[in-house]
Amino acid sequence: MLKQKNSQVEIEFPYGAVITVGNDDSVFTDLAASLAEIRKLDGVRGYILRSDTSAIIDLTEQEKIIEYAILSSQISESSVEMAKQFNLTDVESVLVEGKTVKMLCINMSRNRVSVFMDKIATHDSIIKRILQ
Amino acid sequence: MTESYSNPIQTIIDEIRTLSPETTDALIFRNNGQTIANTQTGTENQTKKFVANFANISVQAQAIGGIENFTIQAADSQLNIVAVEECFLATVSSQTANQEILKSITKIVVPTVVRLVNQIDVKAKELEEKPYEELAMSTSKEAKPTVEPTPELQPPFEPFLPKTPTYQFMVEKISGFMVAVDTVRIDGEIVEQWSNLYEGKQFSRVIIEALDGKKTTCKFKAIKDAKNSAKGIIQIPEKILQTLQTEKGKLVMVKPVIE
Repeated sequence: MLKQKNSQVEIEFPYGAVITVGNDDSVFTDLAASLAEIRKLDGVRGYILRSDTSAIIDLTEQEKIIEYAILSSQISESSVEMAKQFNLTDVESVLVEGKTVKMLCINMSRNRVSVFMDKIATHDSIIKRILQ
Repeated sequence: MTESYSNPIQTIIDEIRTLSPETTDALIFRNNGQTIANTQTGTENQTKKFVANFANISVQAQAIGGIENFTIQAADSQLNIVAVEECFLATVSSQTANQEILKSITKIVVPTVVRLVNQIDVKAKELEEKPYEELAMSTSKEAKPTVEPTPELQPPFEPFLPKTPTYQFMVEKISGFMVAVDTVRIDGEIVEQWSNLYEGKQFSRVIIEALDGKKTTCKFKAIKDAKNSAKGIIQIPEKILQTLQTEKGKLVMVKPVIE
């Protein structure tokens, strides 16, 4: 649920997390809203949304927050380099499938989104939803 | 995986572009940075840098159970990395590539080839490491070859003949103008027994052996009208007696020569 207070946006999450961000980053705000909806989908285990100044982490597996955060950061950095080496331009998404979990990483301007889901969950519709 | 066995993998990597012309690059590498085969489109340094970047992700990806599939989706092309046995296969293809063909190559064809090469490699290492004797023993244990009994060389077929009987005779000296010097005379009953024994067989000679082992072969005749006194007697001319170094009253062994 989004609540606007002066120049700030307060976001409440079903698991109790509340993050306050500056409302000057409308992309971040929009992404946060979209991810909050995506989080309710079957098979979605959680997400991490980061910008230069703010972050939202909403994961079912609380004990893996740090590991997932590091992995998310590593994918964002390394995949940019890998894409450059093969002249891949305008990268839309990075999908990493592990044994049980798959994660979807999308960079939008200065915002980085990572969505964690079950391996059998459908990711195509989530990509569309984030990119729209 | 040894270098010699990377050739089949290099071949299949080269063929990927034939099977899927929209695929511009392909590479098989290990997580430790070793490149097994590639399409040689980039420099060695570029390849190393690429593998290193992936390795950084792979280390952190233990949090999700390791990487099975990795895809960077760009506007008009994609980079896909799929785990193949203990290696990774990377392909770069355009959006227009037939995904079914690409999937068949990356998930069926290449993994099958890599698996086969790995199996051959393991076997080759076993052969290198095992001492010859151990290998021979294990081979014999594993293979358990059935030893076909080789047929023994059979002598040419001969009709069954009874064992040649040997008879003991007492020596009598025979002399006279009509006596053949090379012929002995033997008890007619014994000769008849030989004839019955070797029915249809011809025999006109006998082997005579003295008790001291001296032997000679000579012709013989049966004493036809043998009297009781001729039983068990062999009449031998002087010359043969000399050969056998025997004399009247001595015993000799006689057996017929079957022809």
